[in-house]
Order: sequence, then C-alpha cells, then structure tokens
Amino acid sequence: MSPIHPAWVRASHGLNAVAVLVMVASGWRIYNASPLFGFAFPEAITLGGWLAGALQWHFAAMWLLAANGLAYLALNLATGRLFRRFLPLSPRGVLRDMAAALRGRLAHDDPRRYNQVQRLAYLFVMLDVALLVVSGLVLWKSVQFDMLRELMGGYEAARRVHFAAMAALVGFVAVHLVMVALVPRTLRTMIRGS
Amino acid sequence: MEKRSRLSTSDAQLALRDARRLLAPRIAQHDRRAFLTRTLSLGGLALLSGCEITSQAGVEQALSAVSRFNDQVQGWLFDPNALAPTYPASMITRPFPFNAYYGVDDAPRWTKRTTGSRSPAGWPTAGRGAWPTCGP
Repeated sequence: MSPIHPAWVRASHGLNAVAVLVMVASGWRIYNASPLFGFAFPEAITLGGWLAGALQWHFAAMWLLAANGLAYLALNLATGRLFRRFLPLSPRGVLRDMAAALRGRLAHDDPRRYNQVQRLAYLFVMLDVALLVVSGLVLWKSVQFDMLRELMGGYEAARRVHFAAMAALVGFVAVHLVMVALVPRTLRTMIRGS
Repeated sequence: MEKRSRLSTSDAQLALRDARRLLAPRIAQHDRRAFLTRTLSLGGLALLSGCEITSQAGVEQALSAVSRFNDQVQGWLFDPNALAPTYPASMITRPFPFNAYYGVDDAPRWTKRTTGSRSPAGWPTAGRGAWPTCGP
C-alpha cells in the first residue's frame, strides 16, 4: 500500500517546520529592535541574540522557506495532490465538520481523506505563508519591489501585514500541534509515511 | 514426576497462534509509543542544544556564507533607477527615531582638539579643518 504521505511531502514538511521555526524566532528578535505595538517578545524565545544576528538567521532561512515552499507547490500541482486532497471545499461542509468536531463526533477513520476543516486550515496556511513571503520581499527590498510595496499600501503597512500573517501562522501551528497531540498517529504518518 | 501439557501438539500450536494474534497489536502499540517518545526526546535534545547556537564557529561561517550570497542577490536585484518614495515633511516622526544599538543618550560625543602642540607625532596639525568630524 502506498504511504499516506509520499516521501516528498514528508521531506518538505520537515524542512518547512525547521524554516518556520527559525523564521519566527529570528523574526521576533527583529521585531524587538523596533516594536510595532506596545510589547516585545521575551529574548529567551528569540533567535540571533541581537538585531544583526537575527537578520542573518532570517535572511538565511528565508531561502529554505521559499525554495522548499515553491518545490512543494510545484509538486502538489504536478501530481494533482492539491486538488485530490484539498478540494472540493465548501462553507457548508466546513460548518458541518466544525460542528461535528466540537461535539467530538468527527471521524478520523481514513487518514488519506482530510475533512473540510483540515482542508480549509491547510489551504489557509499555504496562502498565509505566500503572503508572508510577498510582504517579506517588500520589507527586504522595498525600493526594488516598489509595485509590491504599493500593493501592500506602503512600507509601514507591509510591516503590519507581515506581523499579522506571522500571528496567523503561529496560531495555525498552535492548533496544528494540539491536533497532533490529540491524534498522535498523524505525527507517525508524517515522519514514516504509514 | 514429569509435568505434561494437557494440549496436543496441534492444539498447542493453535493456542500459540491465538496468543500471538492477541499480543501483536499491543506490541505494535508499544512500537509506536517508543517511536513517539524517541522522536520527541530527539526533538527536545535538538532544542536544548540550540542554546547559543549563533556563537558556534560553524554556524557563524554558514550564516556569513549565506550573507555573502545575499549580497550578490541584492546586487543583482539593484536597479539604479528605482527611487525610494518621498514623503511630506509632516510625516516625519518627532522625536526622530535614533537608529543604533545604544540609546540616544549614550551616543558618543566627540570633542576636537586642534592645538598643534598637543598632537602626537604624525597626526595632522594643519588646523581644525584637517580633523574628521564625527557625531551629532
């Protein structure tokens, strides 16, 4: 029987997890150097030590995040997995599965089939990471990517977009980890494939 | 006195097969659990050893290598005709944000000493204009 997650999905999931961990931890340190809001992230959970160190980490892991993300999207499209696993998706289906999940009646019998809430969450996080990359390009080279900058509503707005997309990603990861803890076999299938 | 099994050989084999069938899922379960604990502790170890990773020589080298690569990419992206947007003077933040790793109050203040007689040998003595000016 073929694995639940093909090897390329598992490899790209692992690389993405590392990239996201480094990007978020170093991003928090960069944020601390010039906070947008009235708080800073505790230094202990940031990466890089100081602004320049955090920037080095951030600008190194961005290549991993972007290259791995592009390879994932390309393979997902080429193999048709994107359409098989994540579509169709309907608002009614999401509400139905959400209600079933809240009543503790959502079946997890077939790990090859994502329920509507999972489909929504995974498609959302793909778009969210894409938004992080695009807003990040504006923050990295705001003069050279002037069209993107104007689309974001200027440099300051791009900072807010980047922050909001980070918060959404961290929220997704938190829920994702709780779900994995509730259904531990999903961790095994994502590492070993079956 | 020899204690003999009351089961015949074929019965014993059947009983053994049944027992294996009953135990197999538990063993698989145990395997999974062991797999999970091992993976989780490996992850924890990786995080623990992650303290102060930036200061390790290998990591620093790798980061500098990527940084040099980034310099190339930035050079390649650079368009000399692209201009930064201009903003009206009313948008200037006051007080102007001081951009350094030390606070504005800790900024070094330089004083110029231009009396020729106190200059060490080899330093310019041609008057005030010869000295570089630094600081605010």
